[in-house]
Amino acid sequence: MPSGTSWLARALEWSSSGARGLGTVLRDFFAGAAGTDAYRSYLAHHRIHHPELTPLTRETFFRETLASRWDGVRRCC
Amino acid sequence: MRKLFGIALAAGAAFALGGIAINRGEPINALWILAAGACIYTLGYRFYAAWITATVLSADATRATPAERLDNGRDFVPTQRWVVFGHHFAAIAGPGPLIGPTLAAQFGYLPGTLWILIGSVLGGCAQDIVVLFLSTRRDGRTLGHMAREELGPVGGFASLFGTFAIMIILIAVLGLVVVNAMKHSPWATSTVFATIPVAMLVGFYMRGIRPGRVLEASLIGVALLLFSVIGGGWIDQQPTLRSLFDHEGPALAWFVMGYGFLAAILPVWLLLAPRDYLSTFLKLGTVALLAVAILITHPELKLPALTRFVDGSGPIFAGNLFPFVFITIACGAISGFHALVASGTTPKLLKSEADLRLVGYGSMLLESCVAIMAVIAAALLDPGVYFAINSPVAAIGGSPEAAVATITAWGFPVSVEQMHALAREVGEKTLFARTGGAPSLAVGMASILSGVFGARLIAIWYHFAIMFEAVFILTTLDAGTRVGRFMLQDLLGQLWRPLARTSWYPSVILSSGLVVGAWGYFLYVGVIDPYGGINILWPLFGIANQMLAGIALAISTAMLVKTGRARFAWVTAAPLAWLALVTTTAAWQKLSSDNPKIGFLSGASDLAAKLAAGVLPADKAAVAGKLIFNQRLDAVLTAFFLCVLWAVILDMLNVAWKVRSGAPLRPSPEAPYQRSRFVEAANA
Repeated sequence: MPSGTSWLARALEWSSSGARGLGTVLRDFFAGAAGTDAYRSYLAHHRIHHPELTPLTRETFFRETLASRWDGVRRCC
Repeated sequence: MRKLFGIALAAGAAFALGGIAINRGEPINALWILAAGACIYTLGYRFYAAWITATVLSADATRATPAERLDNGRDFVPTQRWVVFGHHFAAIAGPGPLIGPTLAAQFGYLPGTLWILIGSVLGGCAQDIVVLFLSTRRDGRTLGHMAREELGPVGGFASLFGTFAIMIILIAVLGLVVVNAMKHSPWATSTVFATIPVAMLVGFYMRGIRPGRVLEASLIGVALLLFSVIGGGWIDQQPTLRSLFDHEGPALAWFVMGYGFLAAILPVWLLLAPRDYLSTFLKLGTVALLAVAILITHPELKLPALTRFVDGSGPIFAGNLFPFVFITIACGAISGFHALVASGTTPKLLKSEADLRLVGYGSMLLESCVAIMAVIAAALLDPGVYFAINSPVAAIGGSPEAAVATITAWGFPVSVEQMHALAREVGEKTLFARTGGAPSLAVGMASILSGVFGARLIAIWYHFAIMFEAVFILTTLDAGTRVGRFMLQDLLGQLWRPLARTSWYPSVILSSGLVVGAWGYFLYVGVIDPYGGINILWPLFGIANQMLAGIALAISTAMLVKTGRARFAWVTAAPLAWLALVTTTAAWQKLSSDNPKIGFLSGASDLAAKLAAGVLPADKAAVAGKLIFNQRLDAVLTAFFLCVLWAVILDMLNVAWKVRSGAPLRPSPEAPYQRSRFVEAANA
C-alpha cells in the first residue's frame, strides 16, 4: 500500500473510531438521562451486591419498577 | 491565575452588556446576549457556585451519598455525574422557560434577559443546589418531608398545599397554551393528536413486543413523531381529513381534559412512561439543535430593548415592568418547582457530593440558557409580527385590518400581506391573535432552524416546534394530574380510610375526576375568555410558582441557620427577600389595583357593571357571569398564596430566632457521616 493511502486509511480509521467513541458517550448520556438503561445499572448493582441470587429478567424488572417511578413529582414546568 | 480568569470574564460580561447598552437605538446581534450570558454563567459557576459548595455547604466528597449507602439498583443508584446532570436538566426544564420569556418580551428583550441572567445565577441556581444538598444529606427526603421535620406542621402543610395548588394552576395554563396552538389549525391538531397513539405504541412495544427494550422503543417513537409532523402537513392538504381536525377552542379544551383524565387512570406503562421517555429525548435533542443553530445563524434582534409597554399597558398581559416581569418569567430565572425535583429523584442518583455543583447549579444554568434562547426567538421577529401573533382579539380587534392598524399605531409597523405571507409559509390559516406564546415561539424557532437547514422546510420546522412544545406540555399535564391524584387521595384518606388506596378504582376515579375538574375549570374559563385567558392565568401561575420558590428558600434558610451556617444564610435569604417583595407586590396589585385589566376584583366589578348596564355585545354577555366569578375566585386564590408564603417566612424567622436565643429546637435528622467507598477506590 503506498504511503499516501495508509495516511488516509489511518485518518479514516482514527476518525471513525473517534465517531464510535463519541457515539457511545452520547448514547450512554442520553440513555442515562432518560433512564432507558435502568436495567443495565440494576444488573451491575446485582452482580456486585447479590452475586449468589439470580437477577430479575428484563421484563419483570421493567414491570416492577415502572409504577414506582411515576408516583412522585418527576417533571417541572 | 484564577483571579485573572475571573477579571477577564467580568470584563467580558461588562463589555457585552455595554455593547447591548450602546447599541440601544439600533438592532443588535444575538451574539452580544450570548456573550454576556456565557461570561455571567461562567463567573457564577466558577466562583459563586464553587464558593457555595465549598464554604457555605462544606460539601464533602469523602462522604457517602444516599445513592451509595442505600443503593438498591432501582431508585437509589450511584450514577455518573454527567448522566445525573442530563437527568436533572430533563426533569426541571419543561415548557415554562420557553413560554414565560416569550410573553415577557412585550417589555422588550432587555428586562427579561437581565432577570434571566441575574436571577438564575444568584437565585434559581442557588436554590436548586442548596435544596439538592439538604435533601442529599437527609437520605433524599422530599421538600415537604423536610419542611415537616425541620419547621413543623405549618411548613409541612404549606409546602404540601402549595405544591397541589401550583400543580392545578400550572396544568390549566399549559393546557390553555396547547389549546390555543391547536385552535383551527388542522396540521398542529393532527400532529399533537398523533403523539398519543405513538406513545401508546411505544408503550405496547416496551411491554409486549420487546419487553423492557426502552431505548429501542424510544428511538422508534421519536422517528414516528417526526413522521407525524410531516403526516400532519399531508392531512392539512386533504379537504375532508382536514375538517376532522379543525376545531374551536372549547372542543379542544374538552379533549385535553379527557386526555388528562385517561392518563391519570390508565396504567403507567401504556401512556405516561413511554411519553416521558419520548419527551426527554426530544427535549435534549432539540435544545442542543437550537443552541447550535442560534450560534450559526446569530440573528439580529429586531425587538427594541425596552418597549412603551413597560408602563403597564401591555396587550399580552397588563401590569408594570416591576413586579410583573419577575412574575412572568419564573422558570428560567427561579422556579419553586425545581425544589421538588431536587428533593425527589435526583438526590437518589448523586454519586458524590463533589457532583453537587454540576448537577444542582449547572442544570439550572442550562435551563436559564434555554430561557435566553426563547428571548432570542421572540426578539428576532419583527415587533409588529410578534404583537400581532401574541395579542388577544379583544386588544387588537377582530379583523386583520383593525389589528394591523392598532399595532402599527403602537409604533410597530406590520401589514396584512406580511402576516398572510408568513402564515402561508408556516402552513397556518392565520397567525393573528394566536395567544399563549407557543405559535410565536414556533415561528421564531422555525426561522432559526430553517436559517441553517434551508428556508423550504420552514413549515415543517414550525410544526416540529409546535409538536415539541405540545409533547412537553402533555407530559407535564398527564404526570401532574397523576401526582395531583395521589396527593388528593392521601388527603381524602385522612377523612375516610379506603379513599387512600391508590388501586381502588372508585377512589381513583373520584380523585382523578376532582383533579381534572379543578384544572379543567380554569382551562375552560381561559378558553372562553375574549382576552385569551393567558393574561389572567399566567400571572396567577407566576405568583404560585414564585410562592413555591419562596417556600423552598424559606425552608432552606431555616435549615442553613439550624445547621450552624447562619453567617451564610443570606445565600438563600437574599433571593427569598427579593421574591417576597416581588410576589407580595404583584399579588397586592392583582388584588387591589383599580385598573380592571390588572386587578382581579376591579376587573370583576367592571365587567359586572357593564353587564348590568347592558353595554356588552351578546357573545360577551353570555360568558360574562362565568368570567366575573372566575376573577373573584382568582382573587381568593392569590390572597391565599400570599398568606401561605408569609406563614412559612414567619415560621422560618421563628426558627432563626430560636437558634439565636438558644431555645430548644426540633432535631435536624442529617444522616451520619459514612466514608465513601468510591474515594477509597480512587486513592488505592
